[in-house]
Amino acid sequence: MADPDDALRLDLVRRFPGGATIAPALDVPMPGGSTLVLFGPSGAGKSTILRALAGLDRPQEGRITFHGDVWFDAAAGTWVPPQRRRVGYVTQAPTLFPHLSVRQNIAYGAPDVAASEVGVDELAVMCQIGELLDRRPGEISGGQYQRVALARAMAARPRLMLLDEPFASLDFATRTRLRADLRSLLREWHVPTVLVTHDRTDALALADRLAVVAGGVVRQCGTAEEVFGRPLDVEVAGALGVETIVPALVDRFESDVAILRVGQGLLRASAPEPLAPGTRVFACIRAEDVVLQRPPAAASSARNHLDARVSSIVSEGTADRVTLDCGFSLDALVTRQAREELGISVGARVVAVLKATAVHLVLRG
Amino acid sequence: MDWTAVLVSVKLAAATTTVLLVAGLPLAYWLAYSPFRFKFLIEAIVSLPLVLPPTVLGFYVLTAISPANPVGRLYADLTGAPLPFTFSGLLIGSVLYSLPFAVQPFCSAFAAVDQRLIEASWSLGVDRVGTFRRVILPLSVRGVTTGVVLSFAHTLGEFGVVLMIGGNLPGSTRTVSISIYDSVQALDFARAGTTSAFLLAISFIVLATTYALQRSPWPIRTTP
Repeated sequence: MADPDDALRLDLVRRFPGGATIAPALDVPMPGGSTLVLFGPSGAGKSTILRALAGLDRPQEGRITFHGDVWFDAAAGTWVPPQRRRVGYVTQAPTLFPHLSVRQNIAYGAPDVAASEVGVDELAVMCQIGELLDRRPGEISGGQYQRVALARAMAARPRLMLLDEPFASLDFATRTRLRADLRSLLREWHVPTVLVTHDRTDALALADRLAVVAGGVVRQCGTAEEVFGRPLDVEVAGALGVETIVPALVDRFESDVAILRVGQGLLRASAPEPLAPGTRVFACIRAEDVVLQRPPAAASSARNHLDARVSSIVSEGTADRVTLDCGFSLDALVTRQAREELGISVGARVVAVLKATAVHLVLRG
Repeated sequence: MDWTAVLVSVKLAAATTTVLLVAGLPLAYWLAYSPFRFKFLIEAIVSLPLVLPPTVLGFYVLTAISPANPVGRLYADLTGAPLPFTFSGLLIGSVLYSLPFAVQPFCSAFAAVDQRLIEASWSLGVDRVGTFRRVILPLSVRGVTTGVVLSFAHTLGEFGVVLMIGGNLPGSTRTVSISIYDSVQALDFARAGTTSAFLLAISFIVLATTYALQRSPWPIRTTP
């Protein structure tokens, strides 16, 4: 296991009035700059884990240690209050103090005023909120609001950053931009981070390690690639979603289309901005977007025609989920009528057709 | 007009408000945030003066502060003078009588502060006292102002409790409302009218100013 000094270990039992219980356990290395993503559906217990780490919610049983310090030990009666844990805790708005300016908000928890004067300006520039320092939180946009919250958490020199769905309630464009900036900020600040999300894109883009939380327990923990590539069981796969997610490497970029190397094959994906050859990405494909044809494939506008062999067929109500082997594993969702007309059965050779716009790319952290 | 009585009333109202500010803020904080299961009992006690006739409250306070009882005796032993029919005795009754008028607005204001802001402050390393001073209190400024003004105005117009505990000693315990009562008893309607008009004007000005100040000083954000 990891060096005992850089690990986050927790093993908790938290019972809620009304009967719900969560009992997660984790033991992960958390060196500076690394990000652990707690991923799972709403109500799975992710936020409760984060609140226990922050010192805001006290479980009935268990133990939490971070980098060798005991934060909670029910047996020994140890409970370190949030003030003495030095964590940066960022959640959905509203969390900024509405009666203070952006500058005062950022400096709020800074250890000493003299040092923070310099620090505030620096942090504001890093977080791209340098222009907003004299405004009030009520006068800035949603994306800016979360940037200020990040800068404020960072100004207090945390040992661990805890981010609870920080992008929820932001629009898509703002979310995408903030996510990209967050990744580089966390690297630069070199602070270990635990991020809670139920958004796959957030998880794939930011996770060094991914813990799948479902039903109040940690079902699987590993790198994003391991977890998405080999979900432990059907429940974990369900929690992760139904898309095909495969690691890929950008081979080249030709007029808005990235040509990816996936296993033995090539895949074309539209990308909003150029990607350098060698860039590591995840290619995400929804089963609904995959069209099956009998070989040889007819000419079409779709950019991807993949020779495949049917490896399994599972009925899902009105549609059949057809799992294909085309150098990597790919799921297609087709109606039973279509499948029967085309004579698709296990072992049959087909051509999987999908448009370049149906391949969703996520940069790997 | 009975300026001596006005002075006594203003002095009593100011002293009562000050005591309620010092004692009421911690009490309201405790009521707003304590997980204590039997908190409702304390809440009920604090609110009693709202429903109790002032004479009943006055009677109990008068009995309690009498030198015949331990509290009154302790005070008399320490200071050499008994509490009943003095300004200090009046102050005790007045504070109890106005307690809900201060504590309830304080408490509602504290409870309305978003818990996420309080938790944000804690996780930024600021202790409970610091969080109260730097976050909760500034965000509760309207509720605290309301409590202060209500206590002041309520004490200014107090009659029953004052009469029970303070009696009617000019310059010491005769307040405006008692002065008005005396004037009416003496059929001096002109004097009663002037003092009443004065009390009405003061009360109206205080309340109007409070409501004017209650407009939100900064936009409170609920969603980004």
